[in-house]
Amino acid sequence: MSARDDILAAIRDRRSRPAAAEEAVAERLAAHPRGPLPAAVGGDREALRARFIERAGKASAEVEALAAAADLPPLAARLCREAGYPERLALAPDAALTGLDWAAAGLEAEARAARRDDRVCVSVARCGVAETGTLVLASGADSPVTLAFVPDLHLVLLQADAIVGAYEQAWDLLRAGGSSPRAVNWITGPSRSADIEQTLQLGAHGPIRLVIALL
Amino acid sequence: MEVRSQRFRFSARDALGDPRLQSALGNIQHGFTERRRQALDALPEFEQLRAHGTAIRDHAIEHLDAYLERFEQQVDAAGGQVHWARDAAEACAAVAGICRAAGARTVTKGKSMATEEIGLNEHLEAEGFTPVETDLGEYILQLRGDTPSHIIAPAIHLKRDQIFEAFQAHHDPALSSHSDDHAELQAEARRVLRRRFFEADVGITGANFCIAETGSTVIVTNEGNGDLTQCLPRVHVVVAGIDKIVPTLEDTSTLLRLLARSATGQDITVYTTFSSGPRRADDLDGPDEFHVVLLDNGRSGMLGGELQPMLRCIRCGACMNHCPVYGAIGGHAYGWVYPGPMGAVLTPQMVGIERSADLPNASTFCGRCAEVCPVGIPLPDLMRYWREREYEGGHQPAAARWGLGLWARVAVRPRLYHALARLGARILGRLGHRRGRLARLPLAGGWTRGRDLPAPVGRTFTEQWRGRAR
Repeated sequence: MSARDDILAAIRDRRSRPAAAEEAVAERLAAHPRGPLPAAVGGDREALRARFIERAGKASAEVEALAAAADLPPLAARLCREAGYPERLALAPDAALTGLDWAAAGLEAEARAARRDDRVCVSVARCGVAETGTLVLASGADSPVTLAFVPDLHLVLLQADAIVGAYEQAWDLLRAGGSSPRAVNWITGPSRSADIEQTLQLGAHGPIRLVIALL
Repeated sequence: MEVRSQRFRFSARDALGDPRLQSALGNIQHGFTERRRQALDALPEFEQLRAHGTAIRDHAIEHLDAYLERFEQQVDAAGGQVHWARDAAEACAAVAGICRAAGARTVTKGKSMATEEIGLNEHLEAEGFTPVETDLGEYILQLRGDTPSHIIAPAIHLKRDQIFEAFQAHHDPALSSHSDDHAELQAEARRVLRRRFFEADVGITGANFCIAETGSTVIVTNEGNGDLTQCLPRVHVVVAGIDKIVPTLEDTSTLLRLLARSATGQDITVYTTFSSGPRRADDLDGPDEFHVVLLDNGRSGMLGGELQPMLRCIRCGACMNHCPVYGAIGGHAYGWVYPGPMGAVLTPQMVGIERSADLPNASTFCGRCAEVCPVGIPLPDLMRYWREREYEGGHQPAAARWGLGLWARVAVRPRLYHALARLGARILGRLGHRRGRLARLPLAGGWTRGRDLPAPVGRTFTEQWRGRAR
C-alpha cells in the first residue's frame, strides 16, 4: 500500500466516525460558518478607522494620513530622504501606483518585483483589518509578494473605506472579488524578533519600518 | 535528533545547577506569561473563542481523513503536489527527492518543529545539500550545533555572550558588528542571512495550519524569514503533521485569535501568510513549485483513544511557559524535540514510553498547563495515561515499584494507614519544628537536594477534618 493509503486507512480504522460525516464535512466547507467575533470590531467607518490606526500603532507601524493619492510620491520622497536611502523605489504594478507622478517628486520608480538592493518598496493593500491593525495583501500580477519582505522600508497604500472590522470580513471581500490569490499576506507592523534574551528588536529579516499611507 | 530522554534525571539535576541557564530561564516568567495575561485581559471573548477553537479542532480530528483528502485535492487544483510520509524516514526522503530534482545546493529553512522531529537537517547534509536555518534563534543554534529548548523561542536557554561568540566564530569579519548588543547582533544576522535567502534554490517551511477549503498552508512569523524562505527560491516545500488540518478560512481565523495571544502575548504575529500553490502564469514572483509533505509519524495512532485530545494542539508553547518544572530545568532536559507538558505527552508516543518514561512523571500535576491551553487539552490526564502505561510495561525503576507496592498495601488498611500517617506527621513535625521546613530527609536525598519539605504541623489532615466536623 502507498503511504497515502496506509495513513488514510489507519485514520479510518481508529477513529469513531460520527454518523453523516461526509455531509458534515461538505456542509462546513460550503458554508464556512463564522465563529464568535470580538465585540470590539464593530462600529461605523470612523470607529473602524480609529481602531485600525490605534492597533497598527500598537504594532509599531507608522500611519500617515493622505488627503489625495497624489500626496503619496512626496511622502515616499520624504521617507527616502529622512532615512538617507537612494531615491529609488520598486512599485507594485498596480494602476493606483503606476498612475502617479513619481518623477515629479524626484524619485526613480520601477513597477516590478523586489530585488536584493531595494531599500524602499511600495504596495497596495487589498484591505485593512481594524481588529488588530492588520494589512491584507493579495498576490497577483499587480501585487508581487517580495515587495513586502525584501526592503528596509515597506510603504503600503490603504484606502480608508477598505478597512473592515474582523478577519472574517476580509475573507468575504476576497471571496466577493472572485479571486483566489496564490498568497494572502496579513501584515501587522514591521519585522521583529525577541530570540536574543527575549529582548524585542525591530527589523529582523523583513522591513525595519512599515509605513501605512491611509487615503 | 538523538533521543536523550532516558537521561532526564541527570539532565534535570545538571540544569538546576547551571547558573547561566537559570538566569536565561528567568526571562520566561516576566516575558511570555505576563504578556499572555495582558493579551487575554484585553479580549473579553477569549473563553468563548477557546471553546469554539476546541470544537473546531475536535471536528477536524473526527473527520481527519475527509479533510486531508479535500486538502490534497485543493493543493492539486492550485498546481501543487502533496507527498505522504508514514514516518520520519519517508518524510526526509521526500524532501531530499524534491531538492535533488531541483538541482538544489543551498536550502533555506523557516522555523519548523516538524522538520526538527524528522531530523531533516542531518538528512539533507548527508545527501550533500546545505540547509540554512533562517529564524534568528534557529540560526544561532545551527551555528552552535545546538538544539531548540522551546518550541517558539528555540534559543531561550542562551545568553548574549554565547551568541556573540558563535557569530565571531562563524561570520565573515567584514559583516560583523563586533558588538554583543542585542540590536547589533540581530543586524549582523540580517546582513549575513540576506545573501542566503537570495542564493537558495529550495525554501522549506513548516505549517501552523493546512486549510482544507482552499489547499492553503499557513505560517505565522514575526521576523519575515519564513516569507523570504518561501517567496524567493524556485521551489517551496512545506512539511506539516497531518494534525494541522483545519476546515476553513473562518476556522483558521478563530484559531489565529488564540495562537499568538497564548504564545507570545501578541494579538497577532507580524506576518500571517496563506500560500496556495506555485506562482500563477502572470505573477512576477513566487516559487515555480509548491510541495506539501504530510507527516504521520505516530499521529494517526493517537486517534480513537485517550490521547486523541493531544491532536488538538496548535503548538503555542503556553503549557511550557506556565510549567514550574519547565521553568526550573528548561527544555533540553526533556531530551528530545518537544519539551514541557506537551512534550511529556508527545515524546512517549513518538519515540516510545520505554525511552521516555521519566517525562510524564516530571509534573506536579498542578494543572496550570491545562488551565492555559487554548484548545483545552487535559495535559495532566494524558500524562497520567502514560504513567499507567509505564507501570504496566514495567518501565519504572525497581525502587519506585517497590515503594508504590508497599504504599498500596498500607493504603487498603485504613487503620494502619492513619496510624502510620499520624506517626509520620508527629515525627516530621517535631524534627522541623524550629524552621518550619526540612532541608534533608532519610531515603529522599535526591528530592531534598533541590528543595525543602514544609514540615507538617503535627496533626494529619484526617485528624484536623474530624476536629472541624465536631
